[in-house]
Amino acid sequence: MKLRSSKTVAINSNETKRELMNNENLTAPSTANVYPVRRSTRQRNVVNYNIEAAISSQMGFQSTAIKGGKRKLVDLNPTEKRMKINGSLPSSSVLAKTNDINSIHVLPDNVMIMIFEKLHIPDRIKIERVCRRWRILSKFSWSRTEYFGYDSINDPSNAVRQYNVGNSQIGDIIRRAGRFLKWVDLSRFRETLSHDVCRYFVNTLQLHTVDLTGIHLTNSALSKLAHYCPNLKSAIFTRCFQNTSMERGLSDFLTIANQLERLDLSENENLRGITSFSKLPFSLKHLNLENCYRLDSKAYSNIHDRCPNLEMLNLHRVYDLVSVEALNSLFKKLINLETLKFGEHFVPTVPNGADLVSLGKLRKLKNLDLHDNNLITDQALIAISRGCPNLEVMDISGCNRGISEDGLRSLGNLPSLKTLNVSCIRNFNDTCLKDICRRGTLKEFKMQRCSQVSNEGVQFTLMNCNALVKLDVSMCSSITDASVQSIYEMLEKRHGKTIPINENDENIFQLSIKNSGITTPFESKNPWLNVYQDSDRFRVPVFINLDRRGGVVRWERIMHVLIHYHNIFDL
Amino acid sequence: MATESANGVSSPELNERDVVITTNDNRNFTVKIGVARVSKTINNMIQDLGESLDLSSGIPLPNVDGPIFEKVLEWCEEHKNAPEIKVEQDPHTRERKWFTMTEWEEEYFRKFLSHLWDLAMAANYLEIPSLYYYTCQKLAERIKGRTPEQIREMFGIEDDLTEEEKAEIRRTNVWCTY
Repeated sequence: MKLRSSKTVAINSNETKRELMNNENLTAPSTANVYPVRRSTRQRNVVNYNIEAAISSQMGFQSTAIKGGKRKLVDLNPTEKRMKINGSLPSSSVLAKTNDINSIHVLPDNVMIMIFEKLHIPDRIKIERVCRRWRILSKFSWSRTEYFGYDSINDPSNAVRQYNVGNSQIGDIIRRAGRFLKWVDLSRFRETLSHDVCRYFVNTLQLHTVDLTGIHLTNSALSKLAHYCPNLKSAIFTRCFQNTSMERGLSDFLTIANQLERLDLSENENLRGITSFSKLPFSLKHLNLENCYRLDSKAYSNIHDRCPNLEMLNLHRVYDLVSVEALNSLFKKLINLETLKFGEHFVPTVPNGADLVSLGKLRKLKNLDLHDNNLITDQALIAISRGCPNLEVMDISGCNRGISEDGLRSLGNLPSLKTLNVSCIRNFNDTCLKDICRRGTLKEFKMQRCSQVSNEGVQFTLMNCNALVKLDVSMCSSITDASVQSIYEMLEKRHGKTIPINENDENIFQLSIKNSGITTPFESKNPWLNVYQDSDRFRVPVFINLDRRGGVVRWERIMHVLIHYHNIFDL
Repeated sequence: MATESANGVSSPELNERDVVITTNDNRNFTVKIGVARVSKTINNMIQDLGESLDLSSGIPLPNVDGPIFEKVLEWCEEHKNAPEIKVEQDPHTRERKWFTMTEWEEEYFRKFLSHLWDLAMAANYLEIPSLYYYTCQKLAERIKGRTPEQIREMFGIEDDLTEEEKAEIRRTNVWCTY
């Protein structure tokens, strides 16, 4: 038995070396590669270690040779010896306690690394304390760790164990896995992290996505981050700049990270963007400025000057300082925009004669969200219906102030509109509905609280829109059981006697009827119809930010909401 | 239905024939080729020998001993028609997913819990991916959530870290206090 074990170990150690070298995911295990930054100290350690290991192994073998009598000394071949001196992976023949057959040490290195890779990150760090061989081998178990986030250390199957993760804990992980990491998401550790965490991103050259949501950053932290990770493609700084002016740090960051494609600055209420936005990188495609309501109009002019390639722009709730003129000149230049989110602008008064007609210049626009935007007028809608032929998804729910029948009817001109939400528009009636459904392209249609629409309008919609699969008539008091009857007839025509493949079939018609005129309690008689009594939550914007650090409550804003919804709520 | 082979030697009749495999303690095992082929190492040997394969003289396995090979065979018998194991990535953490095991497999590992590393080594040598990945997972499962002291005790590992190394760990590893 003893003979077998020593032979196996010798063979395996050779195999292990080869396999490790061949393994493309694992870079050649030379110490110089492991820690480029601290090269000198690492090399010294390994040399020390090798001498120690060599001595201890020889002693070990001598003693067993004396004890067992039959055991041969394991002869290392010349290449193996050379590799050892160069500081490569220690071979198992050196480190394994060969006199102990029942020890896990008989396993070759590649198997050990495979086992370590399976472990969750906290366990992988913990095993360094088990013994010397494990400590060294565990260093090679990080090469597959490309992502770090909350899920990486909190095992969903072990909900009880929660780790207290501070800056130095994150530093520990980045020190080990940094050069392999590509995605880092620290948003769920925001309670325990501070700006100091940025100084640990030392060897993270491959990093392309970083999410620091909710962590308070400083100017120097942001500059450091940019210097360490110049190849960033996506950066998320939601609620990161709360207290101080971050212009200098953000300028530095945007200057260095010039490959950035996605930048999320949402909910940074103190951001002015006066100097920093003049450094916005040309490569930018996604920009999220949701709730940055102190942005200067100069910042807006910088957006269209510097980022002509922008495809996604989120301007939800940025209403304070922007004039309609500034917005008009912004949209005029962003001709590549595909998604625009520009909702919840509860401006008290619309300057007379100012219409957002430049929305009609966005020819590539596919997705437009304008919910609760008081700046939207009939003129703006007409401009959109003329100028945005690719528009597929549109939400104008709650835009009550400047919209009349004329503007709504013009939406019928949009040739590829598939999803439309006109909830809470008081002026929406059968005539508008008929015009919009004229082309029959609609797939999803929401009209909560449109009490002027009657059964006749619904019938017309069903007849014209052959692709319609989602209809929300919640709180439409004029829509009654007759509409349900016509839906049955339509489905009969559409599907005949067939039945859906499964319950998730996308052709199943979904109907929401909560608080509408439909009274008969009924169960769907057709497998192609699903009826929902609960509509989507009636949308009331949530402004009060309950996050511990972002706790700025804007009372004037809440007042706006209350005034705005006064007519709509059944108060 | 049968195990696929690279150069088309595979045929249902061949898989039904017996082959003798000799382990390093000179025990002979008579095994159906279809079963033995779950091991890629043995499959390669059979293919390399091709027509000259003398089924009665047997295939020597110098690195595996009888008791372990017996256990491995049990696995091969169960998995002879199983599809190639797929290592999936977790879409979120992008690390290798843990496999879900069948009842039979759970029972198998429960039975041979004390031989896990022998099985891993044999599977590594014989190139049986399913057994290899699953034993590794089982071993990882045993390490998971245990303190270093418990791990050392469980696997019979000696604490050979010097005080100096321990001091360095204390300094660089804030995840666990020494």
